[in-house]
Amino acid sequence: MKTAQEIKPGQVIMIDGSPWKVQKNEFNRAGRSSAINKMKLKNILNGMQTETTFKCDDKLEYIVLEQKEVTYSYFADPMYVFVDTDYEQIEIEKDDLENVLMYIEDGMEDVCQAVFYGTKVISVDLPKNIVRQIAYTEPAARGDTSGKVTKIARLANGHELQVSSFCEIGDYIEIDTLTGEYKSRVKR
Amino acid sequence: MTSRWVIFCSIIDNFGDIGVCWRLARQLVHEHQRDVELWVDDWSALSGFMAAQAPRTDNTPLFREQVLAGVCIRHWHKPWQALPATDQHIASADVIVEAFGCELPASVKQAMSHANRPLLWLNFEYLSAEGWVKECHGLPSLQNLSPLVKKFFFFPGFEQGTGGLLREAALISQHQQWQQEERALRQRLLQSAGLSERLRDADVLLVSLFSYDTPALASWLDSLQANAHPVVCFVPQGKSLAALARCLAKDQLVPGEIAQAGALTVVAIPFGSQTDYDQLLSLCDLNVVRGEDSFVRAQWAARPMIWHIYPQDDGVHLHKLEAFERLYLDGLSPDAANAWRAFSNGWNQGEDCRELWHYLRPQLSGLQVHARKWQKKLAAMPDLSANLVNFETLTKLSAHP
Repeated sequence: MKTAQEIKPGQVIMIDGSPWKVQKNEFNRAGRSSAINKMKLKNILNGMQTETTFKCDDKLEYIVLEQKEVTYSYFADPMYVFVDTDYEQIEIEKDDLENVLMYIEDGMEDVCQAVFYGTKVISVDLPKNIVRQIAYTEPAARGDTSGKVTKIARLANGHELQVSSFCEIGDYIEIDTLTGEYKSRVKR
Repeated sequence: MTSRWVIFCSIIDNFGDIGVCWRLARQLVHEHQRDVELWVDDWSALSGFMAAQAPRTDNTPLFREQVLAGVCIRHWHKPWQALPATDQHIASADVIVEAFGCELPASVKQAMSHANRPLLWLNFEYLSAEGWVKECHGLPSLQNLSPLVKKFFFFPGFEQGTGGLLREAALISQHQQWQQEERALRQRLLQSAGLSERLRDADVLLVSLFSYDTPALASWLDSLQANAHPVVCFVPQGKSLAALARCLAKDQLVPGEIAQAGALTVVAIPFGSQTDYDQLLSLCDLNVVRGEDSFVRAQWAARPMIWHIYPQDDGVHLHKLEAFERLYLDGLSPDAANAWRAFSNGWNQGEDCRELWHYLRPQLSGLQVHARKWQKKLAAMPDLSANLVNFETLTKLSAHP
């Protein structure tokens, strides 16, 4: 058992005998010591989606699922195709990639973890830190080179994030996939 | 058939939790004809609270199970003494409310898992003006209990899409009546406090103070002492009174006692009934309130107010304060809004409030007009008890399509 607060997106909880994949888990402080977790869930068996709330210390039954190393191969609308170490193709729906979709791009070489419920892939986890190239950003403003001033940068797949003001088009940057935040500029 | 509601209330601090639960229980009984059972864990606090609501001349103690104002109040023993008959009785209710996120006894939940008819289980949460409240209000909480037991989170709030605020049907007209008779009632208030003729005849600023302890208090009292006109500050029995005594360099202030310092007269008043407090809020020029219950009541009183929010260690309360400010100050003149915000933030962060009061004081008349508009805006929405009863009806309908 885990508390609602400890459950992470991608994990699966059992409710009334059905497995539900947690797609989002938002934490809010209500008042005094009270806190609420609002979850977006998807029933793995029938695809039904729902939003639900829990007290942050509600105990939930979660299940540990099998994982396999995979790499992204290509997009075949509407499925994202990954390949495992045995060169078997694995198709995944967009909804099941919600937390990592912004980092999926052609040619990416990151070794990911595909999470299975039975024979069905229900999510893909990226490494904690990944490197992406900046496709577009405005030129840096003069003066501040401390890195504390930030600006928006766009990746090849259109995802935007805040980066240090000294970053330029074509630079490679390291991103924390858990927080979604820029970490540093890297050399390649 | 009248539906039966069971409310569980765990008293954490002072009378705020029981104040809200008692109002809700009474309203469900009197305005919505529900049978209501109210389980309270701190019997000593409840006894004090109930004594103030309807003083009993014979000093008889509160029985562990009795009906007051149509509400059956019962003692929630901790640890819970699991009696199957009691657990089953509770589990056979139509609605079970766990107030402010309190945890139902395990054996009650066990009995609920054997429910043989639909049971609505509500987690009744704290009041907040934050945006996420609208997104979470009314959402189900999926539980592994029984398909017949449906749990939901119910959030009070200031906007459409939330559970609203508790407001008795006659409350607004009651405030209007008090404020029509304001002059006479203010005189009576001063007279009953035993204040001198001179003070009664003067142009007095009436203030009520019901806050948590804050370093800001001493500086504000300094300002009030130096005020050009007399200020009378009514302080109900509780933590504010002890803090105020310290600021006035007194060992203590007991209810009924009056302390004088410069232009300021402090009147310590006993913990009174909810109606007495509503009237006090209605007659004062400024109300400093705290937590949740007095905070909501001050808004219905349509008088300028300062909210001392329940302080939390990680500062999360300041986000909640800011969220309320965004709603409350909308439509107010920039000068008045800035003065109010500065004083409110200063008060809540324990700053020196002398200069802040200097800017707030001239804005009180504008804040008075704004407080009426704000009351009107809130009163245009259904009140919380009506929303709860509607929620019960809608849930029943969806359970039986």
